[in-house]
Amino acid sequence: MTDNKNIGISKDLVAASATPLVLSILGQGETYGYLIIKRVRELSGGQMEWADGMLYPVLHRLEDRGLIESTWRESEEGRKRKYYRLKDAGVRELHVQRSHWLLVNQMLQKSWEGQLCST
Amino acid sequence: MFDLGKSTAEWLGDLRQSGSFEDSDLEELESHLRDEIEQLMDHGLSLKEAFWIATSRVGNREELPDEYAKTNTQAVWRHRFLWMAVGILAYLVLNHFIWLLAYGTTLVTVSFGVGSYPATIFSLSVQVLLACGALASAYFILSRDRFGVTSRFRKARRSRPRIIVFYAIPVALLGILIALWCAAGPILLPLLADSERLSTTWEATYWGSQAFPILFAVSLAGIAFVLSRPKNSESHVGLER
Repeated sequence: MTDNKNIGISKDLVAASATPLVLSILGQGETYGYLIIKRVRELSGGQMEWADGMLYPVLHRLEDRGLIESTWRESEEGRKRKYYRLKDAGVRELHVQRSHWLLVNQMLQKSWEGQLCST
Repeated sequence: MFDLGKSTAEWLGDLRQSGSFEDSDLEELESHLRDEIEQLMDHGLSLKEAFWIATSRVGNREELPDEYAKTNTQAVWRHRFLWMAVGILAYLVLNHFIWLLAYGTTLVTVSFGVGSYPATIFSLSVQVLLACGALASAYFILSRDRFGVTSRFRKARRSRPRIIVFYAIPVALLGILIALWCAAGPILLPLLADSERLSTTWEATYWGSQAFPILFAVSLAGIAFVLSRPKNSESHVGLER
């Protein structure tokens, strides 16, 4: 995770948004690390890019907190992959995070509207 | 010809040496790496190019172990324990080796009709020379970073207070101990040599073999202290909040 990859986005913001992003991607169904990274790249239009290896510690911490669970399975090509899936607690956490981020988003939107009117 | 299996094994081996990874973590990273390589080759890259880009995307060797270490405290402690065990074993072996050395050198010197005090001094000088040789080879080995140790030392040198606490103080203590021994030896030994206690080879050997175990214990404690200090938590390089 280097600065030139995430142009303009602060490290703190990247770090803060990692958990809700991972949870919401997993909210769309079971998947594995490589696809999560790809999805993040797509969602941000290439604006936010994680150093791939940094995703896994985030996943492992979520697993330790009991929000997600993982299983090793073999893909069709015969490669072993670790699949991650949301647990019930993870779904609840996703809802909580969603409401918090929407609130922040709404607050910012409203405050910017005010600024546009006054100028 | 580029050998993917060999290069991947080397890359994983480098990561494993940091001691921050469980085996399943490395398996997961390998699987990820292969997905990435496949994708890159679909875009027309050669296997070798794809490998280099994929490994650099996964993350650099300095930051990645740090990120994993925050989660894998068990693995990190297992690694530290291994180092401590190696340290203790090395100390025991050295202790016996030095005792034998001290005994051998004093025995030879005393057999030439030299008194126990000069014999002790001679024995000590041989030991100092050997210790310098051992330290020089240790420095040579570590400077080639075959055990991933120097990268830890490099990190410890990031800020001035850390240099003082983790590097300068143990070295200074070691220096003071050596100086004290050098000063105490000539003062204490003649006094003791006058008494009957230090009149035999055995006694000379005893004194000659006591200095280095102490010095080595102190330097090993210093190294263990540096290696077991908590990771630098100020760096927000990863996805850690």
